Amino acid sequence: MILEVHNGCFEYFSGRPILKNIMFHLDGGQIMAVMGRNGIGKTTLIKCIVGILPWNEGFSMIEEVRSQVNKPIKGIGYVPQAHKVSFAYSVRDMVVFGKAGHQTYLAAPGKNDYALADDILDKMGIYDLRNQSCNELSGGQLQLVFIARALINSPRLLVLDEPEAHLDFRNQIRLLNLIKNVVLENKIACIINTHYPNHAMRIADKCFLLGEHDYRVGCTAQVMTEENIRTYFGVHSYSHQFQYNGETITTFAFLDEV
Amino acid sequence: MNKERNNQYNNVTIFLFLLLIIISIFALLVGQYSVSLSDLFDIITKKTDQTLGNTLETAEHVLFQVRIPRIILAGLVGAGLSISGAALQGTFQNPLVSPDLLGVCSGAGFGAALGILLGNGSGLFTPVLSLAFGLISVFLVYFFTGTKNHINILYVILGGIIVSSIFTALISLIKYVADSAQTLPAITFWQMGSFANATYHDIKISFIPVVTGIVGLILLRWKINLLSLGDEDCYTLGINPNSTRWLIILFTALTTAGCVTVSGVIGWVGLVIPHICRKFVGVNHGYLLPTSCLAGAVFMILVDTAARNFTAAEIPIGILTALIGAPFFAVIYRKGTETR
Repeated sequence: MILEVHNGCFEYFSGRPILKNIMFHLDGGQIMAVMGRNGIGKTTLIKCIVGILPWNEGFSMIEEVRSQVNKPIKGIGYVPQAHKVSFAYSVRDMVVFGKAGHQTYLAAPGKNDYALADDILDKMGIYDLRNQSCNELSGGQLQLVFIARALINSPRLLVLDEPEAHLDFRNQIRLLNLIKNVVLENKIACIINTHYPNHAMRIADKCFLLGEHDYRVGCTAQVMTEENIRTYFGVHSYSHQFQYNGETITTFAFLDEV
Repeated sequence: MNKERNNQYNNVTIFLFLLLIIISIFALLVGQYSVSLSDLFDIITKKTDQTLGNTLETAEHVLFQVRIPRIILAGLVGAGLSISGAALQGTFQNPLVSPDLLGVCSGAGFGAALGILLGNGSGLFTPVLSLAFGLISVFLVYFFTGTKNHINILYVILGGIIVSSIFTALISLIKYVADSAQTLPAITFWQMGSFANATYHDIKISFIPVVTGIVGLILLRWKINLLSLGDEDCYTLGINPNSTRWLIILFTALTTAGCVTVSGVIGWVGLVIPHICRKFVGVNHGYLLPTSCLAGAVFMILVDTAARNFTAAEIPIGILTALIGAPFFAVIYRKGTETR
């Protein structure tokens, strides 16, 4: 077991809880998709797990180590949404920055770290971008660079905040496959925050549906149902199953508001 | 940083080191009492066996009592202001920030003005007071900002503006009550910035804070990269943005206060030098900070040499750096907007 969240509660203002009694666990090689309506607290959940925000009650354990606020954990690789970078750092620099934080004050990233960064960029298929400035990249490319930056520490838990938000659907498929491969190859756990049920169906082993008063967590096929989409998103949907490459694939079509 | 960049960084560093030595020797020789290179050799070799002639004794005095402390001080101040500027620009994610962002210069200026008013600018009193108020100003900013987690950097900047305006008002108050024959001109000249009265005394006062600050910033240089990415990235990349940011602010305050204390207010260096260095070694603060430090020292020694050679009556260096720095910055700014 890589990640365990036990009885997690969080509120920004007292008396108005956003997350209540969150309980789940994740094993190596598993991907969990977090889904829910806008403003329901998906990003808050992720930030609590990673340790950017403190749980008001309860705790999360990563590889038997309890997370603490202000004490970053090396075992977590967090990929934020692609955002503008204030200085025009090169892609290699940006990936190496993943190393810089966990080094002591006396150490500076050296040749080995840059070689490692090149290696990861090569594996991700963006080696050609390595000398470009981050400000010249498209949103999708920058997202890949951020993932490379998270991977340089060989994290045990990879957390991605809406990674496919600004990508066209070809790049979305590429990114999802990449995440799936990374997770399976390294036997790490992964949490992905997404707005697309079809993506969750495609790569996630587990699904976490966050609602206003409660939540559902479990095997994706059991959680992602027409009924749950109606209760948690307020949308009528129609699911369709078919065979592809020997796999049963379920997709949703969204019809109307409830 | 690609391979060519890395080589470029090494080359630039070596070049700046050599330049620093050459410029220092040049600055040592030129001036109203000019010394030739062979005289310099004579003085150095004969000083050890105490056989200096009469003519060389004057030269020896000029070199060792006037020029050497002045060059060391100019180098120290240039290095300190430039590295502080580079560090703060990264920390506050804004390339337009300069070392006086957080009110250190106003605080140190107030301390110096107070010292001149109360002690007629004699001895250790003025610089110690100046250094103390420079550091007090940062603690005030810290106090105004509070110690809560997840503070917005805008609050820190706002705190700096508040502290800065308080001390500026207090300086005006001191000037208002000061004796207009002696004290007022002394305060005004101090504010213009100058190395004209540099002594080993000044070096003793500023060396420890400036060097402590520079070493601290050099050690933290890679963390500044992370800070420049924003607080959330920091948490997940392994550092606590708040404590790291305050540590960097403290080191820049030590450096800046140490500089301002002995040289007065010298503007523009901390803003312009990092910009020039970015053109050569790129934006990675791991490389930018050491380069800015060296380039700042070279620039300041050069400008100070110009300040004491252009005219018989010395131009205060604060005026020269602004006259060179401001138009230069305007050019950079124009180029920046054109390419965008």
